[in-house]
Order: sequence, then structure tokens, then C-alpha cells
Amino acid sequence: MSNKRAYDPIDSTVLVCYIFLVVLGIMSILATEYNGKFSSEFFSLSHSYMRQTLFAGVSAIMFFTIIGFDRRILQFISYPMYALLMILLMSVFVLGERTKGDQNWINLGFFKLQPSEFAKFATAMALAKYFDSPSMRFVTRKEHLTAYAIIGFPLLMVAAQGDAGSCLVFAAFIFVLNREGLSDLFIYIGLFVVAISVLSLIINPYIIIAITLVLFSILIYWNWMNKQLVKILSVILIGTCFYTFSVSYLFNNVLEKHQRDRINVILGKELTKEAKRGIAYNLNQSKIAIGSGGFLGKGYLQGTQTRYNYVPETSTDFIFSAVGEEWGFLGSVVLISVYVIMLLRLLLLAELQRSAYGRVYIYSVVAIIFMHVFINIGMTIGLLPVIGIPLPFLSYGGSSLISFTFMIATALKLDSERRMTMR
Amino acid sequence: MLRGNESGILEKAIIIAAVVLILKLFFLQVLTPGYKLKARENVIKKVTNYPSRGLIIDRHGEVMVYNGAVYDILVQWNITKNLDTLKLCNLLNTDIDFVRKKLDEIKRTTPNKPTPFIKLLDPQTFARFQEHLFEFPSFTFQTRTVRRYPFKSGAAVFGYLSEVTENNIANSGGFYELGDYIGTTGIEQYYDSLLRGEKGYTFQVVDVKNTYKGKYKDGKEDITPIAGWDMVTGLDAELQAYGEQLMQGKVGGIVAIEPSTGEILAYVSSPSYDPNMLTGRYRRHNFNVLFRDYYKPLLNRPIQAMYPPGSTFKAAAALVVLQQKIHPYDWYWFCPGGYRVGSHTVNCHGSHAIPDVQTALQHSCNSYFCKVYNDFIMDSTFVKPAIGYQKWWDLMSRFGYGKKLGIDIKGEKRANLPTVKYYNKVFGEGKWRAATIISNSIGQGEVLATPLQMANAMAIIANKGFYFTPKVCKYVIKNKQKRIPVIEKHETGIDTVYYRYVIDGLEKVVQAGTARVAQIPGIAFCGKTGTAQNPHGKDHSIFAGFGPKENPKIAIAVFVENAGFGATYAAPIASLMVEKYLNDTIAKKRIPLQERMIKTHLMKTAMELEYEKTQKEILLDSLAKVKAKKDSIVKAKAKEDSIKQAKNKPNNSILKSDSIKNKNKQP
Repeated sequence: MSNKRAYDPIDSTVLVCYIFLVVLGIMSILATEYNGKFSSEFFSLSHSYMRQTLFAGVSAIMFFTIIGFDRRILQFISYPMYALLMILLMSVFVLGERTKGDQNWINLGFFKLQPSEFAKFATAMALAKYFDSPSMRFVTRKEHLTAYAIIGFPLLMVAAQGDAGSCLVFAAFIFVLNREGLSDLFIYIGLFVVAISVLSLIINPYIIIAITLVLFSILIYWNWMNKQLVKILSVILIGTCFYTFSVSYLFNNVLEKHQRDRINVILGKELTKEAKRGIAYNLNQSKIAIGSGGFLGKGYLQGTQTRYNYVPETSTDFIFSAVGEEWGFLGSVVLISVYVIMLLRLLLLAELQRSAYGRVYIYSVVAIIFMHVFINIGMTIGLLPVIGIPLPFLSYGGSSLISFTFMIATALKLDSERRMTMR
Repeated sequence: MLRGNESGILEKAIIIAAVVLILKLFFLQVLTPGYKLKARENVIKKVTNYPSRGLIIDRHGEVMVYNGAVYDILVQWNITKNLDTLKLCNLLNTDIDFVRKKLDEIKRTTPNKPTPFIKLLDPQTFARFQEHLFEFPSFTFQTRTVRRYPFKSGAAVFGYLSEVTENNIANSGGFYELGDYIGTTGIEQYYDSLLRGEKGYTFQVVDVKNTYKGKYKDGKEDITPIAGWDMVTGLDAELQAYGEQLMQGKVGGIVAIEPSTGEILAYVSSPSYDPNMLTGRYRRHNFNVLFRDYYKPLLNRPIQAMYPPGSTFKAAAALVVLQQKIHPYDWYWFCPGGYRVGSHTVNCHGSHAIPDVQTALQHSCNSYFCKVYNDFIMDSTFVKPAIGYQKWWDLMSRFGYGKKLGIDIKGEKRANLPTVKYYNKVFGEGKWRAATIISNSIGQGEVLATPLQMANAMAIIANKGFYFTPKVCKYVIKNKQKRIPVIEKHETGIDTVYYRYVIDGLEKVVQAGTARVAQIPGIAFCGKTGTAQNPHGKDHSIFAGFGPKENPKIAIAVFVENAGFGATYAAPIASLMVEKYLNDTIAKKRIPLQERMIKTHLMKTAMELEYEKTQKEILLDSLAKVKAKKDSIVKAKAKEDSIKQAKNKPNNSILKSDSIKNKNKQP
């Protein structure tokens, strides 16, 4: 197989979206640092936009390297890579550095490695590999438990490291399992738990229990003949009653203080003085940045909020506020649309895959990116609590950009082989 | 739906999530307009540029008040590192406690923006600090201006500036902000809106740490400050300073008016103070010292101190009698050495013949003026004395007595020209006659006047019948554009002919009467001495006059408290002032007089005041002791009585009615 033929059949929609996002990312990072003067200093690597360009270059090399791989190699390294990443993830407990209360960095001197970013990629590969095994039908209890374990292990690990964002990303694998035959019920139960958690923080638990009792009584009454459903509903009902009471305990004892503050800000609860100065101030500045963009935005390099550091961490987690401020509502919609097009296109490609490996893998990638985008943008506009999680392809950071490039490149590689065999 | 997909939940989730995000963004970016303003408020720092306050210039073009530069030292706490507090104290002449307290306060209130650390630092100290400014990177400065007074005089007329109060801010229509200075007294207050000018603003872009990042819109929206109007006053800077020099060590006031215009030439309130004291860094301290001073230097004596005008009142009193044709000018009166009213006699200085009103004025004959006053009020043309007095009051009040003249300095007192209503209240309607209120005729009793009113009354006589509302401000000027305050002319309605007799009389007072000491070589100075009896101490020395006789240029009133006869201090001071103004120098033979006036010190020294205070304390103490003794005697007696009573009580168990009976039995 010649190189030329290997590059040719890449899905151009995804590639264009990818390039668009990376370039917009570098531009936005520049916008957050631009000091209004153009000098020889401009190209110095001390600026994060120059470093991000460098990372983009590295990503490009990786992209082509992966495209050049044989898919069998990818399939072959899936398990070893997963094992390696799990070991790295564990080593964070020993070697890790704490940043803002989250322990997830390994300092390699020249580069700060964030194993959780790569773990997502490795988990996707390992899960795909597992579903690709010939006898796999995802029916038996053993098959279910193994799949849960592959996802659950890194999830618990990042949870222990206090990385709520990555935790949620691993939880997004439930969409993949759902695609492979897990009942919709689990997703609905998941949403139900989230809704109950939020409600019981706002409203008196007794009111929630009263409402659930009434609702479930009606549901059970209607479905009286369906004994299976009645059984499940009853379990959920009882579970809800217990869970409602434990929410405040979990909230106060399991979550850390900064996490509680972040949730309180979103729920509009009374805050401590420290939280008002810290997280509430930061979030408000981010909303001011995005809100002040208006419909058309202030224009590129004209964003005062992001340029003069009113929004914290504009180049990393809050990069969206720079986009929102300078490009306005129109630009924000375009950005979100690009993500949606990219993800839907990938979903389509996933369904076209003939092997379970390709399908599960690309599906996982979509779930991971979706979760990142939704949580990240949601937090900058005050829809979701502030969770330290990068915006894929845009946020400054080598680990993040390179690992997302890995994901996309691998997905495109898998797809390109499908196209070749189709020819 | 996609091939082979059973549910497509992820696809739906992606679309729903995107829609939710876009809706929230629409709400945030399109439907909420407030964020634009908030972002603007964040980055744009409005820096106020203070306009320079209008200058105050005297009638000859001398600048009496200008603006000097001082400096506010600002500190931004959040970028302060390794502060050498001791060095700071040495450079800024402060103590370490102040520095610590101030820094602590800034740390608590506004740590992330430059906050005034020391205000209004004088240029010398600032120059020293500026050399070391690089050692204190978190310190910056801003230039402010304060008033400077090169003649060190005119405190009472100019007034002072002070920091605005909440009230001032509310009433200024948005002009004043916290920390600004506003004219609080004198013409600084009266013309504040003209003198202050208009503030300018520059808009700067700052980052989150409040560091300067450039001009906003290249300074297109900046507003340059507009300086205030300069004010040309009628004051004579030299005369003003000379007046304050003459009055040093004495309590009282001088007002000099140009009769032909009503412009104030000199306005002295004594004891005075250097107006430079109430500017700059030590303003508050100095203000407190002045405020607590025994002699109240902050009292604006020319318009607020009220004295009985004494004999100076007689000039107007004579005119009123002539106008009403009670007696002709050459009515002959023999003064028996006093004027008898019932059992009381108004004393005069020996007995003498008074052939006309001039002579009466010349010798300041009390009995003459009592007699004519009595004849005026009791005149048969009036049915009742009350109607006669009302007529007298009407005419007298046209000389400005008993009313505010409307000078352009706030706080003017009406003083007192007692009304019919007042006397009706005190004595009862119809129960008083001229004799009851005879002391009015010689400017004693209830009659009170301010130095300004006395000077103005003299200006009326100098003008032969009219006056202009006294004004300090001649006009204000900016960019060759003038604004002149409204000039009001007031007529007295008394025939011009009568003034000639009175003016002749006033001239004689100086030439051969009570005020011979006030003779000025080469100038026909007219005036009247007065000695106001003071129930609290030594008499007040008063003089009011004008000069020259023909075409008068200056009318003047001088008050010296507790100084004795009018001729002793007030008359020489007035004559020296007039001489200085008209001749520009003092004649050689009058130099010793000038020296004597300047050196005379009538105020009590600090030691005397202290002695007085202790005497008072001792007195109060002994009074208290006496009272205590009295109380103890009363108490002892009460005790004795109660014991007696108890003894008389036969038994506690006896009924109440019985005990009452018992009590009644006692003598």
C-alpha cells in the first residue's frame, strides 16, 4: 500500500472541522495574550500561542504517523496502551503535582503530562478491542462486568484524584454501551439521579419524596399488569427515598470545598466571602466577557475582558469566553455548529464501520468530545458548575491537543481503511 | 435514522445540548444588554483632571490668591512588596503608627487600586520623596492644587476651602465627588460655582491588576478641564495687608468701601490668621487650633460682630431730624452737661452752647441728640410716640441699619434697630415714650450695628444720599469675556442739602473735635468717633468716616474691642488707612503714630487667659463648696426633723389616721 493512497481517502468534513478548530484555538490564545504591539518578541516561545502552534505541529506529525499505521497495529497495541496508561494514572498518586486541588499532573521537566487526557483515548481503544472479540455479543453478565470494569477503573482513579471533569467524561462511555445494547433505562436513571441531586440541594427533601411517591404510584398503577416494570419502578422509588436524604451528606462530606462552592454558585445559593471573591467573581467575569460580545462580537483582538485578564485562565479552560467576546453570538453559534457537524459526521462514520472495533472506537471518541464541549461551554456561560476540563482543540495545552489529535486521527484512520476496502 | 442504530440517544443528546447552549448564549449575548456596560466599567478607569480654580486679583491687578501645586501620594496595596516603612516615614515626615494604620486601612478597603496614602504633600517634601520614588514601585502620585495667598492676608474675605460634605455632593448636581474641595466661607463660597471651573476626565484602559494599558479610544472621549473664572475684586491688596497689620494684637474689624461704587477696599477681621494655614496637609490641625481659640479668629467680624454704634450713629440721627424738619440746622441748644430723663441722666462732657448741628456733631453732644430725638418722636404731628418712632425707624433703616446689606459674603448679620413691635412687647402698647428709649439717640441701648453697616452708613453720607450694595467682586473674567455682578443703587430719600451740614460737622470732628488725632495732612478727612459702652468690660473704640470731603474716595469704619475711647485707637487706625489709600504713604510726622498703633497689644496673653480660667475655676469651686455646705446643713436639719418625728410617733401599729392626727398636733 503506497502512502499516497493511504492519505487520500480521509473524510474531509471531519478534517476541515478539525483544522478549523485548531486554528481558531491558536488565534484565540493569541487574542488572550496580545499586547497591542507587534515586535520580534511576538514569535518568542515564551508566549503560549507560539507553544500551542508548536503543539499543533507535533499533532500534525502524529496525525500523519497514525494515518500511516496499519489498523492491526492499532488493534494490537490497544490493551498494552490501556495497561500503560492505567499504570501512569496510578503513578500520579505518587509523582503527581497538585494544581488547584486536582492531582493529575506528572512533571516531565519540559512537559507537564496529564495522563487522564491520554487515558480517555486508551480506554476508548481498549473498549473497542474488547467489543471486537469474535464471541462478544454483550449479553452475558461477564461481558457486561468486563466492559464496566474497563471504563470503571480509570473513572474511579480520576475520581480519587479529584478530577471531576474527567470523571464525567468516563461516565459518557455509557452512551457507547447504550449503542451496543445497554438498556436506555440506565441513561434515564442517570439523568434522574442528576435531577434528584440538583433538586434536593434546592428544595426540601420531603417535598421531593412526596412528589416522587405520587408520580411513581400513578406509574405503577398504570403499568400494573407489567410485573417486570413494576418491580423496577418500586426499586427506583425506594432508592430515590434513600438517595434524597443522602444527597446533602454526600454534598457536604464527599465533595471538596471548592466543588461545593462551584455548585452553589450555579444554584444561586448564599456564598462564603472567599467564594464570592473567587469562583463567583471569576464566573461573573466570564459571563461579562461573553455577554459583552453581543450579537456580532467586539472583533478579533478587541476583547477587553479576555485581553486584560479579567477572565481567569482564558487560554485554557475559559478559552470559550475569548471566542464569545470577540466573535459574539454569531461566532459562538458557528463554533458550536462546527462541533455538532464534526460529531454527527463521526457518528455517521461510526455506523458505517464494518468492524465492531471501528464502531465502538469512533462512538467513544464522539462521546468523549461531546462531554468535553458541553461541560466546558456550559461552565463558561454559567449553565453548569465550573469543572476544570479543556475545550477540545481550542484550549491551550499540549496534553489536551495531542490526545484529541490522537483520537481524531485514529478515528479517521479506521474510517479510511473502510473506504479503501470498499473501493 | 442511522443504519444499524437502535436508539441514537447520543445523536439526540448532541443536538439537544447544542440547542441548550445556543439558547443560553442567545439569552446572555443578545437579550441581556447590561454586560457591555459592565465590561466597559471593568477596563475603563476614569481619571479626574482638576481644573485650576479662578485667581483672585485686587483692584490694581495684583494677584491675591493663586493655585500652588501639592501632591497626593497614592499606594496600591496588592502590588506592594518589601516595603521599607522606616525610610518611608523619614521621607514623608510621618510617624510609623500613621503609616501602619493607613496601610492597614487601605489593605482592608481598596487593596487593588491606587489609594491616597498621604494627601496634599508640600512641594519640598515631595521633591525629596520623588528622588526615592523608584524604591517604592507601588507608590504613585497625583498633582493637586491648593490656594496660595502671597500677601498672607484677607482670610476673612476670601474664606477657605474644605472637603465636601454629603450635603454638598447632593446639592452640586453631580459636580462634586467625595474628596473634592469646595469653597466654604467668604467669596470662595459665594462664587464657588464660577471659581471652580469644570472638571476634565481622561479615560484609561486598565487590566485586572489596574495597570495602565493605554488610552481609551486614543483619548477621543477625554474631556479637558476648563479653568474657573478669574475674579477681579475691588480690594486693595496693600491696604488690606496694612489694615491687618494695624489691627494685630487687637480684636475688632475694619471695613473700607469706595462710596461711588460700593466696592469693598479692605475687609479686616481681627484677630486674623494667615490664610495659607488652612490649605495643605495640616489644614485640619490648624483649623482645630483656630476653632478653639479664645478670640474666635474664624468669626467674620465685619459682618457678624454686632456692636452698639455709639456716637457714630449721631450722623444719621442728625440727618433724620433735619429731614423731618423737627429743628432747623441752626437750632440753638444749651447743653447743661446732661439730659435728664426722669430720675436718669444721660451725661455729656461738661456744659456748652450748641449753636448748630455741626457743633453738636463736633463735640458729640449727647444732650443735643437726646433732645432732638425726643422732639422727633414726641412731635405733635404724630398722634402717638409709637407713630413717631416708626417714622424715625423708617428713616434710620434707609441708612442700612438693622438689615442685611447683601454683601457677597454669606453669614451676614442683620444686627438690630429695634422696632415698634419689639417695644410694644417689652413695655406694652402705649406704655412707652421717647424718654423710655432715649439711649437709641446716641447709638446705645438696643441699637446694634456691624462694622459693614457703619462703613456703609458713612458711604451714604459721603455720597450725599445713596449707596450701592457693598460688593467684594468687581467682575469675573475668562478668555477676555467679562461678567459683572448686578449693581443695585439704594436711595435714602433724604434731601442732599442736609448732608452738607452733617458733612461739615464730621469735618469739624477731625479738625477741631473729638478726633483731632485723625487729621491727615492735605486731606479733608471727615468722621465721627464713638465709644460704645460695654457691660462686659472696657468700652469699644469706634470710628467711622470718609475722605476726602469733596469727591470722597473711601468710607471706612473701624472697631476695636475693649480699647476705650473712639479717639484712642479706632480714629488713628482709620486715618492711617485712609492716608495709606489716598496718599500711598504715611506722612513722616505720623510714622510714630503708625508704629504705636501696630505695637499696641490689647489682647490678653495666653498667661492672662490661663490665669482668668483658673480664677473662674476657683470661683466655681468655692461656689460649689458653699452649695455643698448648704446642702449638708439642710440634710442634717431634715434628719433631725425626721428623728424628732419618729420619736413623736407612739407606735408603728397605730392606724394611718392616727399618725396623721399626730402629725397635725405638731406645731
